[in-house]
Amino acid sequence: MPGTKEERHSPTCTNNSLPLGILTADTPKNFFDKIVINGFSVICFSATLSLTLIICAAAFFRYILNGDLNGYEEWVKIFAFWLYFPAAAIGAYNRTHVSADLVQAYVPDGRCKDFLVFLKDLITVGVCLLFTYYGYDFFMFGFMGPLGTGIALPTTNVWRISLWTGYLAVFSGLIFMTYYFSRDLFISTRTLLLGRKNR
Amino acid sequence: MIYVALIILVLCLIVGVPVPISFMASGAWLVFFGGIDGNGYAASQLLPYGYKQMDSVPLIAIALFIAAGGIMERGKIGQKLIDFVDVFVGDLKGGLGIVATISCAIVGSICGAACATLSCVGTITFPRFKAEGYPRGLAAALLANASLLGLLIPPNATLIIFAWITGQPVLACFLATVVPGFMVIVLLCLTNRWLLRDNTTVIVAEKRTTPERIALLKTRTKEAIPSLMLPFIVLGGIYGGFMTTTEASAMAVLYAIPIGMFVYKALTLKGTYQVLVESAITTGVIMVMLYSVAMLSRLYLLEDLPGVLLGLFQSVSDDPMVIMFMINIFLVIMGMLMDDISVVVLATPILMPIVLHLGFNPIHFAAIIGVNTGLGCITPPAAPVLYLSGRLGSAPINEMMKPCMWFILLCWIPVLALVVFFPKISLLLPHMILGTPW
Repeated sequence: MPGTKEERHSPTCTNNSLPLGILTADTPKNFFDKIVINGFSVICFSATLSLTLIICAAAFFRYILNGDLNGYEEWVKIFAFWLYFPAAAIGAYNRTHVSADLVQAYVPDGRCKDFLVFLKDLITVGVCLLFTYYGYDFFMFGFMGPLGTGIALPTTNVWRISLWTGYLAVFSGLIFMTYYFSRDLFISTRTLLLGRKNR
Repeated sequence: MIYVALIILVLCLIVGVPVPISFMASGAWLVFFGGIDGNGYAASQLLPYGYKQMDSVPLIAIALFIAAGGIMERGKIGQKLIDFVDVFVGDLKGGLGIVATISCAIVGSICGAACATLSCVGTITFPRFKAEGYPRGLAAALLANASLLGLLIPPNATLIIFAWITGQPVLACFLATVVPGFMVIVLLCLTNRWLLRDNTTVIVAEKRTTPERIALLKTRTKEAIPSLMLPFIVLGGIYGGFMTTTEASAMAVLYAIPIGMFVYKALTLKGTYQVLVESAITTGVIMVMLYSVAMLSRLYLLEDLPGVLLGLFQSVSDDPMVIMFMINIFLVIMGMLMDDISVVVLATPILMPIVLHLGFNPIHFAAIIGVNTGLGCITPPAAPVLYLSGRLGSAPINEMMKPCMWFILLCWIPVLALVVFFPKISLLLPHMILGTPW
């Protein structure tokens, strides 16, 4: 096991609340991951840039030209969701979601630890699946309307943007979070069944 | 049922389930088995409720401040700020520690988060600490503590979240932590000097003469002017009333990109893309946590968790100050187990009704939360900032623990006690500037 004794016993609270320069998007290896992660990266980059430009433009209009970008908040909020959830999916791919990994730090390597890691991944995937299902319902509510007929779709007040555009970000984020957490479950199941050496 | 939900939450956290998924797991239990009759709650309302809560423009400031922090680091904007501060105190014994502390306060005031501040200042100052013979444990512990000034010197993400959850004015929450923040700066600098009192390995730079200092000041000010404009834009914009917090954060990003690219020539197009994606990932991780806690806190409120907790506290004492003391212990313990954002998002909706019931000012509570989360971030077992600092400074934890304990004892605990028991310390600026009642 690499590292000094202190390093091995230091809890690895994987808080990646901002270690920029350390936290970097891992390069995807297979074709599917490349498409998903690179696609989401482009979406996140575009959303951040759009948010910056729109908000600055709104400030410019308000304070310099004494004007108003009517309903700009509606666009901004939708872009924000398209920033948050695809980024969270990349976070699941990179394993950078915040967790207090006390087990990783304090439980010695062995079957017990493998089981606890498997349990952690099982709970994570189970809960994620449940919320992905709720996410599907939520998206369909926006996409098909409250009656499920495609009539009276919920929209924003000013620009009449269909709200499902934002709900889709939540749903797709949850889908890919579940997918990447399932990958971790697969790995931990294999480790539990076959042992570390045979993995 | 609420106790089972809490046990599920704690177990999930201990096993290492990601924090947002732990919140969802606890919420899922209540969805199935919560309520007075144990029939649960309508699941179809959960995600829409979280969405409605997150559908907020002020929250976008968190994403953009994180991006600004990343650009500052990658664009060498932070380095110029540090060089500028170095002119004033760099030639004192322990001067580099003071430079690092003050730089953390300035950088923290722009990017608003501890890890971003640590990453930005640490990558520049750790090699200097090593070159000047600082004990690596002390250097890493000092940087870990100083980076938490990002949580106290506004604007900062934790207080934006606090204001978002409680419905309090963001500006008042920001101002509440300014005085405690300055107290921590002074105490960290003094403690650093005290810890170095008998140290003979630290190389003290040759004392600069006044002409040398003036010449250096001229050169470094010229180089740092574009960097110094950044805090001026952010803080001046917010406190001058010209911009909202979100607008200031967007301006910071818009200003920092060309400065990093064309003035300091440290940022490329590819680098900008990378840094914005990396900061987006950090934002996504935080926002999913906020989404999940928005859903969970609603369920906890439906289950009257604040009432249950208040009953527990009142079974020990009816004195509001004693209860506030217990709340602080509770927050410190939470801080020991979770990171700063998780503590704020989980504790605030639960504790706020209790604090209001006891008659405390909510803005005062913002300062208490701010200092407590800072303390929690450097208190093991889950001390993310401490471990990150150790990694950046190549210092083993055992070498960091002793100086870190001194910083906690001599800086954080006195400031926390003063903030808790003397509300005027935190309410002074909000009262003077915004007319917030005492």
